[in-house]
Amino acid sequence: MARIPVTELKAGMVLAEPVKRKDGMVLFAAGTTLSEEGAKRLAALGLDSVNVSGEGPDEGLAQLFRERDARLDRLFRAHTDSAWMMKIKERLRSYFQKRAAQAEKG
Amino acid sequence: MSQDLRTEYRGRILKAGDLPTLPKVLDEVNRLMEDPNSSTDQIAKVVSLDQALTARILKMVNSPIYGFPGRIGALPHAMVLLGLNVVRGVLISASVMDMMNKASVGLWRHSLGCAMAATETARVAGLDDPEEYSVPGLLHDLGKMAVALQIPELQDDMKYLVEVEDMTMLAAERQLMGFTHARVGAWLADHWRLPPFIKEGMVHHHAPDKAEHYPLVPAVVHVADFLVRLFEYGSGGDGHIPYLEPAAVDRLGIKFKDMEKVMDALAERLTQFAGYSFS
Repeated sequence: MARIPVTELKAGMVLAEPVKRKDGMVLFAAGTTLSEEGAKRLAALGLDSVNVSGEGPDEGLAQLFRERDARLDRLFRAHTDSAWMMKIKERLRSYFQKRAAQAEKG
Repeated sequence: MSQDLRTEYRGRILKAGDLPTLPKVLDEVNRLMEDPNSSTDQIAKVVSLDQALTARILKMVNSPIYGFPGRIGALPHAMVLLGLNVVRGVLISASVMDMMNKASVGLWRHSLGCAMAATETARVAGLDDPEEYSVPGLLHDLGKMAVALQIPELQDDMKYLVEVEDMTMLAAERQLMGFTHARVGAWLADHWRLPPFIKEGMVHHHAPDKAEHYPLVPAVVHVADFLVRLFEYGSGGDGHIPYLEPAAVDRLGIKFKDMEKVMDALAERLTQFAGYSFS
């Protein structure tokens, strides 16, 4: 996910979050694939930028996964005697690290 | 823990007048759902007589819990997409929402996250109608909220045991009340005559293999609860991750790869709850 200035939106880009009017009415749902027409209409709405899926690094997501990795020992502190829970913890660790690296690369 | 004190606590938790009442329209919906001759349109008509409730139902079905790409603007559409059981569950949830929010915002967020995680967990487990699992996911900790609201003087001791003694909430509840929020959940479910599908998720989410009729429900909620606690979205009441019961994982037939899919969805969508209000 990346924030893209509305002037640089192109057909084929996928909205990562809904675009709403001030009163909350959803104009474009999350997951909408923009047509050329849609990109133009969005640019005309007066927004600065929108979040688009899969474009470039996602710092927020990378940080979220890094934080999760850092919290594992603390969260699992009552289960150090359980081989099963320690195994789960290590699987989770590699998952969080893998996803953090992917989000950084974009 | 004396029997007298337990009985007193139970009485206070269920004290009529303090607990929210479920809307009358729910009785009518239940009746229509049991009647094979009734139609979805009929049920939608009955529900839509209550406009505030209808607005809440639509807000909820359009929430990140379900992650539908488009906007659902009308009740009949929601009923087709989600099924009647979910709409009935959402109706129940809409009525206890204020109580949940009032008891603890952290717990309310945890519940929303769990509703989303339960839906996704049911989906990766290949269960039919995964959206139906959102409701037991949302309501699984209702017992905690009822305790917080009805026996407020226990909160300081509870806090002490959890924060200073580093106990789990479950252990603290046992020590202070002689029963846990799971038991309270059973009382509330009976009090409100909730469907067994929802009740079993509330009662057995810590011991999923004890469920009698719908063993998949507490298994789903158990895994969902674990995953939301992992993301520390909202607050489950203590800073521990619960033990992940291998029996629940086996029951659902899921692998770690499947849990990764649920976590991917949580990482993407939990943030969308920020600023979400159902009132």
